[in-house]
Amino acid sequence: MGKKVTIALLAIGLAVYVPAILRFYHEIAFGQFWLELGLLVVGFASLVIAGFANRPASRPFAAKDRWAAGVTGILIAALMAMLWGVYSVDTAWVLRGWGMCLSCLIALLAGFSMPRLVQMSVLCFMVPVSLWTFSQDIHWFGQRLSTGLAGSILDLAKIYYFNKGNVIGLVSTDFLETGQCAGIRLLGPLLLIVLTYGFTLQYRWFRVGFLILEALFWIVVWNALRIAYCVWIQDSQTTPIDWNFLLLDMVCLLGTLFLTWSGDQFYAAFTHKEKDGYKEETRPSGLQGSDSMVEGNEKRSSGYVFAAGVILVTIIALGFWGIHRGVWGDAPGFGSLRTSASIEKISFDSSIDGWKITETEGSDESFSPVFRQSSNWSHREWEFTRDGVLQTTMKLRVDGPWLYPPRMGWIWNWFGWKTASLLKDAQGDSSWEVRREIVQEGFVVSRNLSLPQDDRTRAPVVQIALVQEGFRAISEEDRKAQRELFSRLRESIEQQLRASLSVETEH
Amino acid sequence: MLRFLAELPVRIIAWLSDTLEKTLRFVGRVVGVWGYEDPDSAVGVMAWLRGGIRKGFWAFARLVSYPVAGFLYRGPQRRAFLLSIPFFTAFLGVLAVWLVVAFNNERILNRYLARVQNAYTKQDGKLGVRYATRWIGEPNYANADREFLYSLVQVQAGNPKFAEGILEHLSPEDSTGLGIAHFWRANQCVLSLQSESMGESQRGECLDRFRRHLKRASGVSPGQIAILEALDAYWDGRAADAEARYRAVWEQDPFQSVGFAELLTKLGKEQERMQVLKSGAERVSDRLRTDPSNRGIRYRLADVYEAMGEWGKAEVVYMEGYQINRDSVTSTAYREFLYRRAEAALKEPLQYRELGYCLVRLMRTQGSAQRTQQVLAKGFLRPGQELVQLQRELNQWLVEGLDLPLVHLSLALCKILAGEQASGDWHLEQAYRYEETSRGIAEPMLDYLLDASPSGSEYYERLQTWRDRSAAPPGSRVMLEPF
Repeated sequence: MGKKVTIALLAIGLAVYVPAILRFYHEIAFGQFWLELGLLVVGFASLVIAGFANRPASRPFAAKDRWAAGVTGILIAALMAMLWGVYSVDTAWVLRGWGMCLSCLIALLAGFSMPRLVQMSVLCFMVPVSLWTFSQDIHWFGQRLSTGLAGSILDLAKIYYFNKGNVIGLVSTDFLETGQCAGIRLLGPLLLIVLTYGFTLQYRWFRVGFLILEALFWIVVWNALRIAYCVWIQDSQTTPIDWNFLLLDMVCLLGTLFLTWSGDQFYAAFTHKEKDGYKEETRPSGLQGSDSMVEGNEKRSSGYVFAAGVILVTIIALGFWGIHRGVWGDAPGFGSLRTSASIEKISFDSSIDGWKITETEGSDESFSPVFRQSSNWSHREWEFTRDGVLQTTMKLRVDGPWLYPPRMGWIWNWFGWKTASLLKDAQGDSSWEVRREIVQEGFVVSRNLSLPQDDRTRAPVVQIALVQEGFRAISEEDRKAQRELFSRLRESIEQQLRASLSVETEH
Repeated sequence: MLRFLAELPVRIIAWLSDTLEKTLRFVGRVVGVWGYEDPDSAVGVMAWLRGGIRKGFWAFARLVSYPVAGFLYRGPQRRAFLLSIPFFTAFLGVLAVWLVVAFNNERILNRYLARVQNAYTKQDGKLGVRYATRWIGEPNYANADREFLYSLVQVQAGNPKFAEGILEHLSPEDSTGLGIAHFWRANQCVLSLQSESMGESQRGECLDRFRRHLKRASGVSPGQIAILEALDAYWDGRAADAEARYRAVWEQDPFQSVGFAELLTKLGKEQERMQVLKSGAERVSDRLRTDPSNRGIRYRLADVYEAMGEWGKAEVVYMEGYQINRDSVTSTAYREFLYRRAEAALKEPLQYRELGYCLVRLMRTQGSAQRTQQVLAKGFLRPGQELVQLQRELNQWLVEGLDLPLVHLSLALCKILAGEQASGDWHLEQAYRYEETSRGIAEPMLDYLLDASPSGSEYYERLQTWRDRSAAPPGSRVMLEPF
């Protein structure tokens, strides 16, 4: 009876989150994360198939105390994820919780073992990893390691280079290799493949952890090799080489997978025990001693079933509340190229308040990051100069659209600037100081421009920043002028983007 | 002794093996790896800890021996070992690369430093900056001297503001810094103090700053420090001391003639000033005679002549330099000299003969460059009486045979501005007849003069009339008459 009720509640719980799933589908379409979603589905499906193949002997649900406790634990994690997802209007978190509920439902219906259920739930946490809000930090750290190793290889090859933060530049040329140093490529797909591989072969958690660490190590190494190779070929070339990124990506992914698999063989050889045999070692711990699971305390199991029911009712209520409040409504700008097209349409008069404006193309310190959340992400830059005054040259940067905007100042960190703590003024603009090398100083005023400004829906965001650089600390007077100029520019950009969006919506 | 030396290698091996054995025995006693007790029967925290250490020790030993021991494996373990060879080979390769670079980091950075020095010697500042960027962010490597080198290549790369920032960073007022950077800062203060546009309080602050930096200045020749000390004495009101100090430097180094002469001017000793300059010119000439291709000495000599007002002699020095080197550096130096000479001629009281000469020479060497046009406009757009004087001197140059086409051209401009259109046309015709290419100077020059003269002014009207007339069809134009 308890099992049937739980299954029914799970089915209802999954159904009430369909609007969130549709919204997530829009985000996937917007960001073009089809590869990661496809791998996730394939991985999940393979776990389900493997679960059917290794299904343990049938056992009554209510009698399995440990099993019921496990399901309850997973449902608690699912509830937490969904609460956070609804609170922050983050569909990825809702989908993580939803995936755990789905895992429970399938495991209950098919009678899967506890480890299989946990593996399915863990895999669901890999819902497009690129949308993790701290992904730029992960990529920054990985890129730092990659760039460092690539530099070491170049040092051994006696190729002269220099670093600007995470980006390598060749001494013989006058440009930075931003294309190859834009983040760790294929990180999400690699983790999905490795997790699926480990779970499908029913490895122990320690071995799965070893595989993940190893995969992360090798992807950093392959990215370093890729940077070193490209820089080596680029050396002494006057114009940037146009690389086939797809080919390089494939080579790196296959190389990483091969070395990870080879590392797995190392683990097997190193931990091999003659008496137990290879297969015995890789048996899932959950299957060992499954007979003991049959014996359980009926009362405690009923308690767990009751707790699971309460959690499921809460999840369902949360889902209905979300529908009632229209949290998952389609935000304008989704599923189309509108916002990016609007960025491309931004323009200014040739001068504002005595500032001469020129658009700069191919700026040194700009790149298209790997962790961008839209296939049509774009970046534009303008230079503002005031005639006769050398110290007052400013740069306006506009980039986006971002679904989950990265931390302000990430681009400066990427290029080796040290950023001071962020200050927020009454108008909501953020500002901070930046410093690099010995005397390079700067001041940045920035804002995430959300279109439209509706707090209930998470719409794509455009990040704008006005930068002033110099060789001495920027004076308070210059900062004030910068804030005033930024305020004017922000209003102008906001108006242009809104006008552009409304025109396209009408069309 | 010889027997001991012969046995030494064997003894060394014996010592090493003994040491290894003793170390292993010691480690074994500590962790109990030799199995003095049964691990399964042991109880208590210490036993558990020793068991853990023992397991760790053996795992480490197996890991170290894995690449060799693997070849002795059998069955599925051997297959797994063979398939893991790419893994541990690549892992060891990455480790090796990292270790080699980490242990040779300073040597690698020294390689870059040598390249920066080389680029600086070859005056390729941009390349030097890129080499220096490799190590400038390394706090343990980039010391004050290297940062100073970075500032030098930044200057060569055309980033003087960047270099100034570095020098300011290297010459803090509250700590030691770098002597040469303090010397630079002291010189910056001298420039400010000489500008004479400061208030009394600002001047006092600047003087204090100058003294603070002068106190820490080093890394240059003692003479250069002595000059700053002489200036300090002058600003401190010790005129005799200042003169004595500067004279001591000048006697050692004739290149300081101009600076010393400036100090003497400030002290009101005009006659001594001229003596210093004359003596300085002779001594620098002697040096130049021994090394005629040395640009530094040549330009110092020209500076002395300029300070004496001997513009003709200075020009000869520059022209000789140009004949020896014939490169952009010497032509730039000559061009700048001409601009300085023209500016000097334009100062009150106006030197018309000098001005006429400079205008003609500038047109000849610089054509219709914008800066030349600006100087020419300053020269030609003068009040009527001054324009007449300028015409007179230009006529004199015509008689003396200086660059006939461009003297005619200059006269034509004067005549047009004076309203003598026909005469202007005739001079223009003569200039074109001597040299057709002078048309390329005349036309932009006339356009510039029209733009530079205030709208509605007398000159503007005349230039406009002349332009309208010259733009008329050929048949309607008045025939030119000889001047």
